[in-house]
Amino acid sequence: MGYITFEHVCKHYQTGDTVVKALDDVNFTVEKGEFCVVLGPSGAGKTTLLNLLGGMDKATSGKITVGGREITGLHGPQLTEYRRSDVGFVFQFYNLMPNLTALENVELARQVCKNALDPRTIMEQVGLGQRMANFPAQLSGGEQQRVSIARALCKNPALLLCDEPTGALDSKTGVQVLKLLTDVCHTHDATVVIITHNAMIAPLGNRVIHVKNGGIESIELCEHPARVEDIAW
Amino acid sequence: MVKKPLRKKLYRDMSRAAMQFLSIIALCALGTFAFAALDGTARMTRTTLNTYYEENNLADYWITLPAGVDRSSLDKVESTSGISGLRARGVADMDTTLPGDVSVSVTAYDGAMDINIPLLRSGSLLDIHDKRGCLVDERFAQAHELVPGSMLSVKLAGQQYDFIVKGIVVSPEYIVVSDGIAADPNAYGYILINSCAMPALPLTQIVATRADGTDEAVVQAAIEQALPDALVVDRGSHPSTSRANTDAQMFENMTYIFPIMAYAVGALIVMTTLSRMIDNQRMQMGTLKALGFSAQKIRNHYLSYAIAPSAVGAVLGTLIGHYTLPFLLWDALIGQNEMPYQLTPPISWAAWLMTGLSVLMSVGILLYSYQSAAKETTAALLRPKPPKAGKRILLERFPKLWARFSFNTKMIIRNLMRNKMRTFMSFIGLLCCTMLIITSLGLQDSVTSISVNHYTKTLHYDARANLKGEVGTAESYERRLYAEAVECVMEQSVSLRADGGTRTVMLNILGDHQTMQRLGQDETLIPLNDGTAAVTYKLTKTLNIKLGDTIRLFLPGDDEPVDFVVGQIVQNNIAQGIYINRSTWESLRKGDFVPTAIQLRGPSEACIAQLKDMDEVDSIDYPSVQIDDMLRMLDTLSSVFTLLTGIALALAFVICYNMGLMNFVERTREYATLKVLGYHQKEIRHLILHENSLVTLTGVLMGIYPGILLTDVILHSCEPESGFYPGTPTLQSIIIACVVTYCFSELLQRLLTRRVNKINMVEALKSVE
Repeated sequence: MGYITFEHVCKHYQTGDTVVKALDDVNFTVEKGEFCVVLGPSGAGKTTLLNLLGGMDKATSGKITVGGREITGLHGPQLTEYRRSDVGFVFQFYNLMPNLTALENVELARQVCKNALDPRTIMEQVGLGQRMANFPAQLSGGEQQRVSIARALCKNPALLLCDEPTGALDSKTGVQVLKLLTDVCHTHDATVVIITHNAMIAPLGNRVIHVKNGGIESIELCEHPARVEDIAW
Repeated sequence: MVKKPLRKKLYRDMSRAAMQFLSIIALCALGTFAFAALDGTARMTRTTLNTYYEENNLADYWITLPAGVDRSSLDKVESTSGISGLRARGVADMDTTLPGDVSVSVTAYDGAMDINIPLLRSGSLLDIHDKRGCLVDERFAQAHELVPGSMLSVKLAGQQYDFIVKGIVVSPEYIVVSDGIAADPNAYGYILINSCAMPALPLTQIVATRADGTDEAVVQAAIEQALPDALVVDRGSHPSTSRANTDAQMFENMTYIFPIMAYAVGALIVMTTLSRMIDNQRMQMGTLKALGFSAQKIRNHYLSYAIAPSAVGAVLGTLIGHYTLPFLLWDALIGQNEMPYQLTPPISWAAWLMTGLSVLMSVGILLYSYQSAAKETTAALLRPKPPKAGKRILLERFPKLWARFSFNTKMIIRNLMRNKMRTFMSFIGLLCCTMLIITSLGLQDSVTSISVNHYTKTLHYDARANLKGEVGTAESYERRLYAEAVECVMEQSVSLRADGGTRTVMLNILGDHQTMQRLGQDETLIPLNDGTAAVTYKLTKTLNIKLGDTIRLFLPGDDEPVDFVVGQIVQNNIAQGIYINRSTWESLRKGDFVPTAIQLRGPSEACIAQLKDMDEVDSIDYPSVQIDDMLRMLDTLSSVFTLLTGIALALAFVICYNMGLMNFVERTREYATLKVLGYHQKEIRHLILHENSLVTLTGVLMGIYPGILLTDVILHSCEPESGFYPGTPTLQSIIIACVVTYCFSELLQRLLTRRVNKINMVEALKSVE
């Protein structure tokens, strides 16, 4: 039994008479502390998968468990509670509050979390010790994404979900962000799930899940993933 | 071909942003509605009065000659330049034989009733030789069930005169029929007869009309010069005419103060809404441009965003305002007077101008925001506009203070500062709402307190007997009448000349140690100085009189004027005039102190009965009754105040809703992110509510002072020349206004924040749109 399990998970969207099967009978597991890459072309169902895993959407059928808890059975406030304490989220477009400084954006996460880490320490860790007082608009894309990661890490989550974390970044910054994420996976002992359409990222994963047309195409396991410095971009 | 999809886009955009479009419609409608309604009422009243005066030849001057009208006085008036017509009349109040204490004002015309022509309702007018017939006041006739053919008897000097009612009429000089404060057709009315029917009634009055193009004051001065004994009353001081005028004036003043304010606030809000709308359409604008639409076509497309809702709203507001409220207000207020008919002038150019301005304003705002977007290159438009950057705010310069705030409060304060425009708009909206509610409640407070203060505090007696004919000395009454206190006053109309102008005013001569008229500040008793005159505050303002100035009085029937130094300025909110004490009067050697009224405090029943039996007692007034009359009259005003409160609340509703919605639309992404981060819906709602309550509180508190000020301004603009109406909203009203506005805003926001539940977290994952 893995840390994350998907059992016969379906997500159907009904529009009029047509049913769109975003996810259809998806099964997989992810072990604790793994760096998992979910790879697939756009429209494959990656984001739906992430939404379900992050407790932002409900599966039509099937069962999802995270750390032994069945999140498909959670409702409203319980789901919020799950997001609040178990999940850290990194967005493609960072989603920082524009009127909060970098540090304050990280503190924002601490507001809702009981066993949060010290925001300043986290900021130092992501290499933004000098930029704490800046507003998002004064930061580069890579820096903003690092703030976003710091915000997610601040909650000390067991699960870190990243939605195309390098999608809006150039290759050089993208590499820095990926380096940070792999480091986090080790230092914080967190399970990291990265969703991407960029096949270059795949070699980094302990586990690479290929998604296609709403289903799992294949799952690759790799005991010794490549180092970020070595991947070709 | 190109037009069609664009038009479709317009319709779809409108239905998608339906609430925003609706709020633009509502705001444009509200402003024009208030304006058209009050403007319509004012014009309806004014047109009706003017037509009535014109068609029925209302007199310009009522000239009273105590010694009687004779050939020479008629000649003198007739030869005064500027006089176009005149008629001699006898006028007196007489008791009738109708059951109860019913009296009528009898006006006997010497000749045709060609000035102040009565308007016939039923029956027929009088032949000039008719010695038996009379014409009767419509309301009085209804109250006493008189119809053409009924008999009506009046008593003059003990003799009874019987008349046959020939016609039921209304008269332009009797729009307000009252011998006291409020009209009461059950107790008082008027009849018109030929003077030949009652030879015992002396002709003491000349009514005269003025030729077109002559100056009112010049002609009046000429008459006063020709007939120094005469008391000349113009339309401005004629009781009925001036009161009807004050009513019309009130609406005219309100038309321009109140709605324009509502209008201005509405305009500000429309401005924010429209400019945000255009901002949100940037990308689409860029897309259209990239597709090859001409700049003009795109501009016209976006112009429809402004023109359509503002035109619909403004026209709707004008039409509804003009065709509904004036009729309701007329029934509630103007119709209380004896109006001949109700003329409804078409929607005025001013109202159409306001309508046009509404549309023009929206178009202007739109063009402005469009222009700033149009200046950018197509490529720039296609890129999302970067979100407004956060900034350190002034407060953070004080780290000690800033550190005391909780994290949420800091975030809220920064948010408020970031969206200065929206914060400011909400603030202004709430400020105005508080102000307007304070004003409408304050107006009611003030008129009540003015009348209560006047009749219970300024007039410090329980009854007042008005005297006429053979009158005894003050001492004899004070000795004879059994009451706690008895004081006599002598009052007479005099002509006052000061540097600032001429007025016919009341000269009040009070006892040296009088206690019954409290003329000091806040209704305190102040003694009148010997040898100088005291002038009421409002009169000093009207005629620009200052302490130490010299004023000149012309006493009726006396060529020798009297000069006084103004030694005191006194307070009287209801009647303006001049006060001197008895010693001062007697030192003038212009005659004895002849009481014209007896004031009594704590009179026994026997005393009242005794007064009623005295021949010289003409009538008895009771302040306690007068105050009721006054309050009853003011009651009819409450409909106007209710209307004002309604408009204020509607305005607040639209503003709060609109601004709340805008906040929501703009920050959906932020709220969605918070949700993903694990904020409970309750916590997000709390954040929004907290933010709102900060703005509301500031707006409400800042609205208090302008509210008090506006009350004062409106009241002063409504007061007749004889009145001084200070605006004094009570603390209670201020608190009510604040609480109502606050709760209102809070409630609305609570409704709005329900939308937090509907925010889809997936929004947070999407790219910036």
